[in-house]
Amino acid sequence: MPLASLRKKNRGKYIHSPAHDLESLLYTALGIVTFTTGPCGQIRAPTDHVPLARWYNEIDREQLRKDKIVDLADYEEEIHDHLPDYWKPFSSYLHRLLEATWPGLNPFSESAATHNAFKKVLEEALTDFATNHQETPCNYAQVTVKRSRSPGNEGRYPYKRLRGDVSNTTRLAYPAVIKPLSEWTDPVDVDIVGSGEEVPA
Amino acid sequence: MSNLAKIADMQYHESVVGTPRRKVLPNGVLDVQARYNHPTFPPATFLTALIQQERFKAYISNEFPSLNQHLPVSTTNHEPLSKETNATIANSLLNDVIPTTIQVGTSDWIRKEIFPDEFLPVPFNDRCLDNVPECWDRSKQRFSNFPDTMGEHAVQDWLNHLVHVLGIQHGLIKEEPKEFSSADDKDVGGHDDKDVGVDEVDSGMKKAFVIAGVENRSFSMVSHNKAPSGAHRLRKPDIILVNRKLCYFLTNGGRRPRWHHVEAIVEVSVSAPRASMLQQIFEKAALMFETQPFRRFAIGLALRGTGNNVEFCFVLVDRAGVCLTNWTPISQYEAISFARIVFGLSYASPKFLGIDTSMTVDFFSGNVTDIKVKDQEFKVVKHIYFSLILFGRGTHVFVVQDKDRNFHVLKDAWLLADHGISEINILSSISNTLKNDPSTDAQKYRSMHPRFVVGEEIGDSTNTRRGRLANSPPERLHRRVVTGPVGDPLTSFRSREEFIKVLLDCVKCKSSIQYQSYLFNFFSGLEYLHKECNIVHGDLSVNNIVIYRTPLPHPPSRKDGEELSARTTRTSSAMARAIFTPAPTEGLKESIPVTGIVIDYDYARKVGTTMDKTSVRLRHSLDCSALIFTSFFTLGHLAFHAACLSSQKKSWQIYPQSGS
Repeated sequence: MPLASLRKKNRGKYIHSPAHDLESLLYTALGIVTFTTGPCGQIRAPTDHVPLARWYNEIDREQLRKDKIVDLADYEEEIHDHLPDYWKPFSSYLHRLLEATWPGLNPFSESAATHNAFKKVLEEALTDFATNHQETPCNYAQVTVKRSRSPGNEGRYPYKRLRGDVSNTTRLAYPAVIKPLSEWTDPVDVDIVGSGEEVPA
Repeated sequence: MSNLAKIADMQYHESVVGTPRRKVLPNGVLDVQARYNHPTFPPATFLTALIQQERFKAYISNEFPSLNQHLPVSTTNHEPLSKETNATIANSLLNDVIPTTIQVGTSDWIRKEIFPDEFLPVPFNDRCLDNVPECWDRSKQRFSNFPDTMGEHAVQDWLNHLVHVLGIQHGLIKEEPKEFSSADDKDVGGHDDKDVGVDEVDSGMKKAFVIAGVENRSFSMVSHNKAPSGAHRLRKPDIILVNRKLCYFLTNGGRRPRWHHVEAIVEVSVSAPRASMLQQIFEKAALMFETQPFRRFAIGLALRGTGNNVEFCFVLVDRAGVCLTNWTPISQYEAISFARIVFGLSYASPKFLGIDTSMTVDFFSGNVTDIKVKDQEFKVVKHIYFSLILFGRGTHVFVVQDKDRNFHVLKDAWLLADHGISEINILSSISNTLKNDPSTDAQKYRSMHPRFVVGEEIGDSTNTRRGRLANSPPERLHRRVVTGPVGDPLTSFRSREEFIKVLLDCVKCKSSIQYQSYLFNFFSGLEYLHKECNIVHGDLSVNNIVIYRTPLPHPPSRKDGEELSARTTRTSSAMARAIFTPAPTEGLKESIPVTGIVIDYDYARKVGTTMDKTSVRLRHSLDCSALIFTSFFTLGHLAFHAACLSSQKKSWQIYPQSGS
């Protein structure tokens, strides 16, 4: 979320502006770029140490703001150095987006992001990647084989044999009279319906 | 020294030094590391493959089994006991699901708001137990047969016995001899005053049934040592309330229940602290809400104590908070209230147990199959998102199909009543802006994303069931919105170029996408939203940007695409549509045009609006983080609550959620 909204001073007075939307978009891009290592959902190994991960785990908003400011201000060390190789070529454009949001890379200032500045950087990035960093697009809609159960295995869900057993409208019986609790057996516990279902031991 | 040994050593050291806050998680990682846990992004599913169903048949039947009617559900869906959590930190934080608001109700509240006579199949008769010595002791005015030992089994039997007695006394359970072929069944008129001794002769033959049109549920302890499957966490409720027929299958088949089946929870204990029993109920209610999109509120009962000193607490959990009664001994009037609760739980219609009847649920699997919005019926294709947060919006997102087999996204959520503009208004305001735009561009473009299909304020408020309880938490309203188009999650980008294009589209005013020989232009992106509609989005995140793709029914022509478009006529394009080539299982290599679309206008508002004070729900670039904020309360808070409750103070309170 935008730095301004995390600020203690702004509590109750925070006004979300278009620049903040762009700022959020930038965070979204940073998140994807940091935690994916390739197309089609290749996720970074969870053991990798990434400073940006704290952004997603910090409970304290004030601390979150501080963490974010420091990480953004120290772009080279905290963000660039931890990018996966796949995204390294995009780093310079990210840096420029950051510059466009906080002139002079000073995240203490209000977000100054404009649509035109963002468009300019992203358009240049697009041309750059379309020409200089071409790659074969990852395959669309690949069918991954899911683990299937062995045929003999009676699974716990969703009661494979249940469907044909008793029609949805059949009702279970109760004893017709009230008996003391000591003599009570719920017909649910004993097989009184007499359906074809054999009860596993 | 190996890492594990090091950790073990540290753990030992800590246990000596005594820093209780650092726990070792089951996987051997110290809890302090949790702050470096990576966020979990939505999985890269290609939902847009649904546009070309014939071509992606293999993929669709693999990813969306419910669409494929021919396969029995049982062989395609093998369910793990607990799913991987959507957010890593959520795993640890879900341990402390502590309500933000607790309200104290009385037995009057139950009588008037939860199970009033008009909600029950027949009005509850307060004197119904007076003539049943098997169950009720008139001199002591309490249950005569309450189990001495507070075990799951004993309580289960007692509850079911009580259900049976109440059913017979209210005329809900009747003999229906013609239903069964047993010839020696005589039609006996009265069943209440019959001599037990006579029946003993042909016990097992005399069967009675719950009369038509009345629900029939049963308490079952199958879950007490067999955690129900399907939720994110492994929890074993002592006793669950399930449909009686399902209960039969669970008990006799030795099968595992699913969370989807659980209709209410009962916790029993001899001496567990009251607060921890409530905590148990909250946690299990959270799992019910997670797995049951149709759940409006969840009911729990806690029974505690031994012998004559058993007390109970009735708990109602919904998206706004918790209402519970004081712990009271089960005797005198309170015992009758308890009987009313049991009566309601077992025989009342689902709606009064917190089920949303506008969703159709498969009886056996408990999955939602159809959802009604206004007068339209939508078939569920896939349940793609659910919030793990118990108190809050509780968003459930589905991919649905309408009658004309078009695909949409359905979002079901509980929004704060005074949250400002509703998403329905925002979306129609965007489309109106576009309609009224006189510029030639707008006339040419016309098409708009996101597309708004239908929305409904379901008219279900969290306040109605609170009745006259004071200090209600902020009211939440149930809202359902169907929008389009169906897009792929942002993580499904196929190349860096595509990803950058998507980002650019999200900023740009106009974008276009090619489908076959046509170029579709539409307004999308933040610039249009900000400048033309004068609206800010307010909740941009990985979950709220999708990639819209338009795959073709067949691979692109060998010749250049331009040539194809050059000679496209009506017939040739119609023919092209008719022909399809199944996609290979390893996926498509061809390039598919993409565009980025910003979705989810829940938090959108007019430019320059201060955020409403009551709606300072913390949002983060990821939904999972919101969880942190809402479930950030520690046991200390609960202790505080318990103190408030015991001192009979009305207490609901919004905690100072780091920054509200």
